[in-house]
Amino acid sequence: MQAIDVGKAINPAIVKGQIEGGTLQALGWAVLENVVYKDGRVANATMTNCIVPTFADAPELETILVEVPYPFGPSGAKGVGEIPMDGPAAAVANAVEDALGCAFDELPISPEHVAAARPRWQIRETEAEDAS
Amino acid sequence: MKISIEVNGEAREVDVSPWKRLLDVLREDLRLTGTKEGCGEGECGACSVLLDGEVVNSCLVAAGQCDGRTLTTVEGLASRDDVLHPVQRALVECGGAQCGICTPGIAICAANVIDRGLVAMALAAGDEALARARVRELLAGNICRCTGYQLIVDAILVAAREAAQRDPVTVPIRRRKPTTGRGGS
Repeated sequence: MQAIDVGKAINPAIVKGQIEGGTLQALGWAVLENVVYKDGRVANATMTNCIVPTFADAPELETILVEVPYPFGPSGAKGVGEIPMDGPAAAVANAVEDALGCAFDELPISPEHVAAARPRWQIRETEAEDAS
Repeated sequence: MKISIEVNGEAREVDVSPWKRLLDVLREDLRLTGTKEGCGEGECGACSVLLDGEVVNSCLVAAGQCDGRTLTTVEGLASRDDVLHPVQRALVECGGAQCGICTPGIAICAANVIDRGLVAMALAAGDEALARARVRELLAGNICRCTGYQLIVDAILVAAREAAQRDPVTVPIRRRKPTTGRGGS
């Protein structure tokens, strides 16, 4: 779930679509998508090996449009296409860090990367300890 | 090779190499450019069409395989007097399309899901979450880069509900039997 200040939503359906699309791209970037270069070429240029989230991978997304008219934009609107890309990857990284007790400073945080970081894991023993 | 295909209810004949991709026959020979090429290797679903009522990726079907068969493309979803298929109307109304490359394939697959009543049971049971999960599973062969899928799922459910109201499901709802131990489906 996310709330985004969009200035004024001129067409709320399209604004929501832009935000949800950007969010899923960012989540894909956070955990799945990895562009590999080899000798100056993209080595995984097909959908078989550069994984883009599908319907089944995507979580249910809930979007709240916060409308605060922006005096410098047309009809009070703000650009909204880019902003959803900023937060989700950092949120995923923070969540993984919270769960494993070690930071990740590279994307994607794929299962392979999580497994490779095993020596750095510092998982707290119990939920009780977590709460105290 | 002469190939006769019934396309969107119309008998058509083309003279092409039997190895030509169905996608290219549609776009180049039949001038039905609603069907789009995405990846060209059967991963993305943008070129989906119905071949004898089954969804296929038209980039992976050879023209020679289609002789004497029936095809429905996105052009054939709307009725002859240009009334959109309920799922097309829902996609427009809900904002379930952005750049549009995946949309014809999604419209074809979603129309197939609705016309065959594949989410009707979940809807009849009043299980919204199950219906959404079912749609996501059934459409997983269609990749969309722009929308985040949320509004497409919304649109498909709107159209599915409409269809359920038109002809209510009479299929008995089977309650899941209590299972012993693991497994069971």
